[in-house]
Amino acid sequence: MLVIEDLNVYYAKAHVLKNVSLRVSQGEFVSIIGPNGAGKTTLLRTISGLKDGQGRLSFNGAPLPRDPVKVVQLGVIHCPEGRHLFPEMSVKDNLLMGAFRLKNFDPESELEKIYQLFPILRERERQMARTLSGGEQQMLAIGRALMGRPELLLLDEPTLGLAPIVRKTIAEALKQINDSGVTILLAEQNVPFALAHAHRVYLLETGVIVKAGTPEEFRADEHVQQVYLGGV
Amino acid sequence: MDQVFVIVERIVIYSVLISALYALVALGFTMIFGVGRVLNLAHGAFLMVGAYTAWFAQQYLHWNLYSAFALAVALCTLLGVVFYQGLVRHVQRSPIVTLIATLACALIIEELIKIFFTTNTQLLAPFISGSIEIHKTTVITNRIIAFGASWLAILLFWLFVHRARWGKVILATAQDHEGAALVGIDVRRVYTLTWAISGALAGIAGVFFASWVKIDPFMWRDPLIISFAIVVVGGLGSLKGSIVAAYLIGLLEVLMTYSPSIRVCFSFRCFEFLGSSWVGVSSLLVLIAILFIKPEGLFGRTE
Ligand SMILES: Nc1ncnc2c1ncn2[C@@H]1O[C@H](COP(=O)(O)OP(=O)(O)OP(=O)(O)O)[C@@H](O)[C@H]1O
Ligand SMILES: [Mg+2]
Repeated sequence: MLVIEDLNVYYAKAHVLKNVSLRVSQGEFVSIIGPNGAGKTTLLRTISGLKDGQGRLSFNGAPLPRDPVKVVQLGVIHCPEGRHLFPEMSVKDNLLMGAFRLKNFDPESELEKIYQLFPILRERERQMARTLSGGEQQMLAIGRALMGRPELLLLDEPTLGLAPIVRKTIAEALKQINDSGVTILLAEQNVPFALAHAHRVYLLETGVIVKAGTPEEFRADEHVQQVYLGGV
Repeated sequence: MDQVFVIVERIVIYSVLISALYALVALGFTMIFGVGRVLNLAHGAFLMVGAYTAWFAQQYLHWNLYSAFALAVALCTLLGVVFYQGLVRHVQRSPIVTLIATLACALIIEELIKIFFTTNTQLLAPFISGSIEIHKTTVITNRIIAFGASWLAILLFWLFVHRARWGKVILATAQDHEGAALVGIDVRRVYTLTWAISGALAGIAGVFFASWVKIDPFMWRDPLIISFAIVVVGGLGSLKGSIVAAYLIGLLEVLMTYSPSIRVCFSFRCFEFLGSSWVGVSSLLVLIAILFIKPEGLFGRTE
């Protein structure tokens, strides 16, 4: 579904992604893990057209356009780091804005699906996004992305700064979303969370993919254990 | 006692009327700032283009005032779009370059007008001439029309932003342009639309400004100072705040015009660079006062 080959991305002269190649198949749940500054966010931003890069990117066999509006039109929807909600709009309006790309849709039934997944959002329907708690904001960000009916959902650190209980809710939601047929590419520092429901995992370190495998292989790997699963 | 009451009544009526025009003057400027964080220093020049267009069409092409008005609004709408596509889009990233470039354009427009027209100060013909009595105060009928039109424009604008689909799209873009891009909104198109609306509003404001205050090649300065003060005082892009700020500035200006004692207090030489304009002085006074009391503006959020 998504194929990336030899991707190189720079910020001015800083070489941030180095010959990155990866693929995500239809229906898969793929996680990219890596420490701060590894380039996870840069990778997702390059896929969604927010950042320029050199290399081959294709989606469903066709080259991926280099314009976020066109990428969204293909059903590749990015739930960004920092959420980027519309703070002065209600929860409901934020969700409806998520469906901007759709021509014909029934707002009520689409909203209903999101509220089933995250019941708390129904209670907060009329509240301004800015007044939500961090966890609620993250659920809203995911909800807004889902409103665009993604084929491929790009998620950037949905657990950043959240309590374990909320992380669990979100992990289960992601599992449900994936089970419903949405392909997921997740960038995440929290390794247990990233491994929980993923089918395959990539490890990105300073712009290079150093390891790829299944969650089981990752859990068994000594390097991963020491650096990412050991300690706290 | 009766005398005092008459003066108070006059001050209230005049300030209520002129403030509506000021709110309209600042509306397009506020929106451009609120949506794209761009300070368009050519905003006053947009008004001037609208004013001269209407004046020219009426004076030289012998159009009736309504057609002249329509032409002015159409031209200013176009000017807004061309201005964004041809200039602002390319310099938007750097606020300093944007400030300099938009100010340079205002000065160029001023020079062009000096070349093609005289520097004489004139007034556009009123939509309806004559005056009416409100209780004991005489009011020029055209100013009531300007007042009504200003409020109508503000109301329609508000309805558009909060009810229409594209209005909400503008709001979303203003609140988080990256979030907007990620739901598939073409942010460039939204900016173009806001510049078109801002141009149209400037055109409307320009025509009324021309029949109320003046037409001359320097007329862009006061509207720009007003807009600038209103944006800051109102809380950087807040519509409600802008209207309240417009009313503060209008009230202070009328007070200074009608009460000699207040005027004397502020007749320092340092204001002379603004000419004899009490609008400019009152805008700046309100601006400075608010910046001291409430730096985030009346309706601003502390971020
Ligand atoms: N706008 C930018 N300008 C310059 N350098 C940048 C910019 N954004 C990111 N970088 C650099 O690119 C590298 C990768 O950053 P990126 O945000 O992609 O990492 P990340 O893996 O998402 O990290 P984190 O887990 O902290 O979110 C870092 O070294 C960072 O300093
Ligand atoms: Mg990141």
